[in-house]
Parts: sequence; C-alpha cells; structure tokens
Amino acid sequence: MKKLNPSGPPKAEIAAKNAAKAKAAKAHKQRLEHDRRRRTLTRTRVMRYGLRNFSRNMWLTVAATAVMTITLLIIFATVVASSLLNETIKAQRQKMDISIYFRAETSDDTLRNLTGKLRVIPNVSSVNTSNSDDEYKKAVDANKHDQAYMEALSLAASSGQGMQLPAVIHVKLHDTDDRAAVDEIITNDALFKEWIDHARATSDDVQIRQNTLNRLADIMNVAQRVGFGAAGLFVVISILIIFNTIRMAIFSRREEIDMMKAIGADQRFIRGPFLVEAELYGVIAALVATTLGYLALMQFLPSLGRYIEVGYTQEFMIQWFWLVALAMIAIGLVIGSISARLAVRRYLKP
Amino acid sequence: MLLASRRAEPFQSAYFYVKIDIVILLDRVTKTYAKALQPALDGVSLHIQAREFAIIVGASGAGKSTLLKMLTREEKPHDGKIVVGGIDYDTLDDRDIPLLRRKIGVVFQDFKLLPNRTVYENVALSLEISGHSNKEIRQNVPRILELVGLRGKEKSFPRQLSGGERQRVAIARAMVRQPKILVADEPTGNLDAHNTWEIVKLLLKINKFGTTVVLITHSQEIVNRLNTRVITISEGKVVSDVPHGGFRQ
Repeated sequence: MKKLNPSGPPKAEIAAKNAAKAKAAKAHKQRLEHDRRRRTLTRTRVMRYGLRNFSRNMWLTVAATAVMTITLLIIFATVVASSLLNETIKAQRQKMDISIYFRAETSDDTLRNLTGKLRVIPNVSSVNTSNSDDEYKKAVDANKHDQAYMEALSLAASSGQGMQLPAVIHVKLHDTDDRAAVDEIITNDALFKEWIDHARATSDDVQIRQNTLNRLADIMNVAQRVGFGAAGLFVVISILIIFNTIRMAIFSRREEIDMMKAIGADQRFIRGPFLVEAELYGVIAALVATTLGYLALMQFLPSLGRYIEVGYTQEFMIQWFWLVALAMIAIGLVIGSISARLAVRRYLKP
Repeated sequence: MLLASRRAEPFQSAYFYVKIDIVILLDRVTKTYAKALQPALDGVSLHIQAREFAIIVGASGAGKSTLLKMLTREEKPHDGKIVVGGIDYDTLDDRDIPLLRRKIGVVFQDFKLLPNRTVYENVALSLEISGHSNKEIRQNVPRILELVGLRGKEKSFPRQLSGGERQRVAIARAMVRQPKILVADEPTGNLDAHNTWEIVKLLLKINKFGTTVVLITHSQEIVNRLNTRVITISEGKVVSDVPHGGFRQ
C-alpha cells in the first residue's frame, strides 16, 4: 500500500526534479546552439564549394553570365524605354487644352461665371481665363520682335478701331478622352451660347492632337509589348542556358557527387554548391548589366532629351540607383536560382 | 546462445540483437534486379558482432557488391530485414540515409578521391560533410593521416600518390569520423602484392582499435593468410560461414 502524503513530495525531491529539469533545458539549449553552429558552418562550406565550382568552368561560366547579362539589359532597357515613352505622352497630354473663344466685349464678371460653370465638371483639371485686354497684351508681348506685326497693330490702333481680340478660356482635362461634359456645356448652356464668339470655332486642340497622341500611344503600347515580350523570351532563354550549364556541371561532376553521397553528404551539401554557382551568375550579370545600362543612359539621355521627355526618368534612375541595382540583382538571383533548382531536381536524384 | 549458432533465426525485435552487440544483421535478405533471372541476393542471413573482422568472399557476380549496397542503403532489399549499428532500415527515413552513411566508413576499390583536392582536403571533406567544426578538422585530420602512415603527404594531390597511398587516403577519409563499422569493398583490387599487404595490415590495425571491419574481396591469398571469419557467398547465397576459414571454391 502506498502511503498518502497530503503535503506532496518532500522538498528535496522537488529540488532534485527542478535541477534535473534545468539541466535538461540547458542541454537542449546547448544542442540547439550546436545545431545552429553546424548549419552556419555547412552554409559557409556550401558557399565556398559553389565559388570554387564557379571559377572552375571558366567558359561555361562566361557564357552563362553573358546570356544572363543580355537578359537583364533587355529588361532594364524595356523598363526605361517604357518609362520614357509614358512620360512623354503624359507631358504632351498635359499640354493639351481646349480653348473656348468669347466675344471681345465679354465682361470679366461674365467670364468668371463661365469659368465657374466649367470648374464644377469633375474631369476638368484647370481653367485659365484671359479677357480681351490680356490677350492683346499677350499678343504684343509675343510679337514684339516682329516688325510687321507691330506695324499692323499700330495701324489698327491709329484707325480708331483698335485691336479687338477675343477673350479666351483654356480648359485642361484630367482624362482627355472624356470631353463630353465640356462639349455639352459649350453647346447647350444659355450663357455660353450668348457670349461665345461664333466667328471662331472652339479650338479643338484636344481633338486634333488627341488623334496624333492616340496613335503615338498605340505605337507605344505595341513597342512596350514587344519589349516585354523580348524580355520574357530572354528570361526563358537564359533559364534554359543556365539550366544546361548546371546540368553539364552536374554530369561532369557525377563521380564526385556519387562519392559525396557515399560518404554521407546530405542534399543540402550536394545541391547547395550548384545553386550558389547559378546564383553567382545572376549576381555578376546583374552588376555588369547595371553598369552597362547606366553608362548607356548617361550617354544617350541628354541627346534624347531634345525629342522626348526624359526629366522624370533621369531623376528617378539617379535618385534610386541603389534600388535599381538591387532589383537587378534580385532578378538575376531569381533567374539563376530557378534554373539551377530545375536542373538539380531533374538530374540530382536523391 | 544465439551467437554460438550462426543460423538464421526468426527474431522478434532488432533491439534484442543490438543489445548483444551485433552491429550488422541481415535476416533473409532478398534482392532481385529488374530483368535478372536469378536474384542477386537470395535469402542472405548473417550477423556480425562488434569488433569483429569478417571477410566476405565470392566470385564476381556472386552478390558481394549488392550486399555492400544494401549496407549503405544504396539499394533496398525486396524482402528481409537489415539492422546496422542499431538502425533498423525498415524504419529509416530516406532523409536520414546520409546520417546512416556517416556512421559507416566505406572504402572502395577505385578509391573515389577528389582529384583536384589535396590529401588533407580529401580527408577533411568527410568531416566537413558531417558538420564538424574547423577546429575538430584541424585536430583530427593530421592524427588520422599519421595513423594510416601518410604524414608529410598532406599537400600532395591523389595523382602524385601510389595506389597504396591513395587507398590509405580513402581509409583515412572513412576512419576520420571514427565510425563503428568499416566496410572495405575490394580495397586491394588495384594494388600490387606489397601494397595489398600494407592495406590489409592497416585494416587489421583499425580493427584492433575496436572498429568492426568487413572486408569484401575475392583474393584467395588474403583469405588464407588472415585466419579470421570468412563468409562465402555464391549465387546470392551464403554457402559457408566459418570462424577461421580458408578460401573455398
């Protein structure tokens, strides 16, 4: 029969138990620490082997890195070009406005009323008004070096009629494709009907340039699609080539791999160096491609700036240099690691 | 009792055998390769005790290599049970095979050294693989090279060594992790008479230090001179197993 012990186990027993627990916990901690150290050690060794492999097959390495470099350059160029084109079209669109002409005698109050009506349209981004006098000043200002024009002006002034230029409201739109609301107000609003200068049609800056710009945008879309398509194609090609490089490396080291397996190397140790090797292709290619890409930008952007809008892209590329470089490295790493993983999975059966 | 009779016994648990110091146990192991008419191994049963020096002999094609592959888990038997160093292969996860192989030292006929690494690096590789620290490597590699008689050759490459020396490197690589079991598959197959005996002597020395040695060979001379346990395999079967045997045709 067991004795009942209402006060629980004796203190000494509890202390012994606690000590044992503490000891076990300590041992566990030590084991974890040991495991961690081992993993780090294995990782460094795998890296070292990968580096060694990388430098061993110089020609394969060069070929694989070159293809990867081209791929990354194409991606770089595509992204930069599409940014440039987008920027150009955006800038052009921003310059476009609808100019509505009003009779010269339209008062400032009326103009303010008209402006107010336009402002409430959600698609309108800005409205700029200038009355007849302002327009006159602008015309004088713009043509002060034009002798014939100035003479004509003074002649008109001396004839007593003066120069009657129409008042103008310039309207800019957020979405240049959607101008229905503005058209609606111009044609149907009573105040507009009353004051609009029927001799001069509303200048359809938007409509005229819109067509050109739309065509440009279409071309850009195609170009962009071609660019991204080429980038995608080259990504696939470089994955295939690196896949093949790694496959050849695996075949040429078949005996070595078998030996490593025979003496107890695990998957990490056998596969790791190949992955490191392929990832190195990616990193080096990224560094080369980034350097070449930036050199090309520095070379060509200033002269391109005469034809297209480069400011924003240039600023971005300079300000975010490190981010761009990191992104390139990341893409290189991903491509390298995907292809190596595929090759290793296919040709390095456990 | 069991050990006295080396018959194949149906057994209840591998644990029991492990307790009485059997490091290698095969129980009615059968293996047939695809398209082969005869099984490579046909109901092979044997057990090898700790610290034993056992020779497995047989003509080529008798099933010796298949047996080795069974021990290192390169191949799985179709039938039967294998327990090595207390590990029951039936319960062995594929992921743990590397761990198993680290417990068994293996030496091959063709050495399987890395040609572009030095003697030292070849031996160190074995420890690197099992995650030993650099300090342990620095301590153990020179010690084992000393044991196999390769002191001073640390920086040589395998191609600069004789066949006998290469095999010593391979043995050092297998032994540097201090495995309980060393399996040598025709280690002297490529060596001349002198080197053969040097290697055999080295294996005996290793055995004397407490490692179980399984020597797979077809050399009649070794078998006759060693006067140790000889297991003869023929056509996939154990045809004789004698404690102090000689070569049998």
